[in-house]
Amino acid sequence: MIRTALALALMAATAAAQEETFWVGHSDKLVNITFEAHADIESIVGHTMKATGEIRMDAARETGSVSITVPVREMTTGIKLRDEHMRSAGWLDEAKFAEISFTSKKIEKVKDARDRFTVTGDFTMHGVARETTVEVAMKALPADASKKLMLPDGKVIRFTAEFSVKLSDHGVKVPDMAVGKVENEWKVKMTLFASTAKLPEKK
Amino acid sequence: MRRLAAVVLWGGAAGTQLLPLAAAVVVAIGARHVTPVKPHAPEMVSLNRDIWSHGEPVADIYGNPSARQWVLFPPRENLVVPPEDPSLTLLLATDNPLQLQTVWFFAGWGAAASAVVALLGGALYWVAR
Repeated sequence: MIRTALALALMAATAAAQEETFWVGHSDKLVNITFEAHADIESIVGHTMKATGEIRMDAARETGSVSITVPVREMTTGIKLRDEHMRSAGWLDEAKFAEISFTSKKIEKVKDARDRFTVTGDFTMHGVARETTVEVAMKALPADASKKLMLPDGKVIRFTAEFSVKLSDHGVKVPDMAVGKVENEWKVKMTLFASTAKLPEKK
Repeated sequence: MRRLAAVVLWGGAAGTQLLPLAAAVVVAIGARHVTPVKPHAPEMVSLNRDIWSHGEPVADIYGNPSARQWVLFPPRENLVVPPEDPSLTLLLATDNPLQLQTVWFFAGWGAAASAVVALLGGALYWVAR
């Protein structure tokens, strides 16, 4: 009985030791998220360098979880008036839905691909959550990465993901215009550097 | 009245020809085929270069790339030909560059509007003859 309890405790301790948490959002320099759609007038590419979240990884068991949040207020499209439209009630309605988030439910390693995972989770925008599957690539950075990035000591990984989002899936209706119509489907690309160094506490 | 109608007719007719022509001249002078990239911070670029290996996307070292497109008069200082793949021309830009698509869009609609004006002028000329 004691032997079994000890074995279980040892297994639990080993499992805990194998799981690592990487934090996102230490600095704007470590985040680059773009969103792209085509319109009649031009291709629109917006971006933000603000995101927070955490990535839990268990390398041995090839499991983990991902949770990322992006404030709508920090998303820009390169034109101030268009930004105001994007945040207005007719589009993302920033006053009511200040954040866009992704929270994973299931992670699977892509077969025969190193450091690539298929992550399924809830993508929430405009207050509407939709199950989305995202292909993610994670790559470890060299040991001196923390120093180069002026972060506290810790491991650093690069996390990249690409996926599509349909505005209509989240209750955002693209205005019916004869001219200058914007596509319903947007391509999102995320490049994040995440570190095991904890995020500083918010004051 | 006839004279005014003639001015409207010929002005509109000229617009249908000149607007696309002007657009074509601007395009011939200043268009570049580039891959626009929202740039990463220099620290990110440096580390991306450290872990990059052959076969991996090159533009991703420098930033988040979007679809390759024609842009007009991109600032020279923002154009990068990466040593990892000299066949690429990246446009590192935080703002949206002026796109060829935009110029053709306005030239097309401008020409269409000019054609309508010319038709109105023609109708007026016919009525006033």
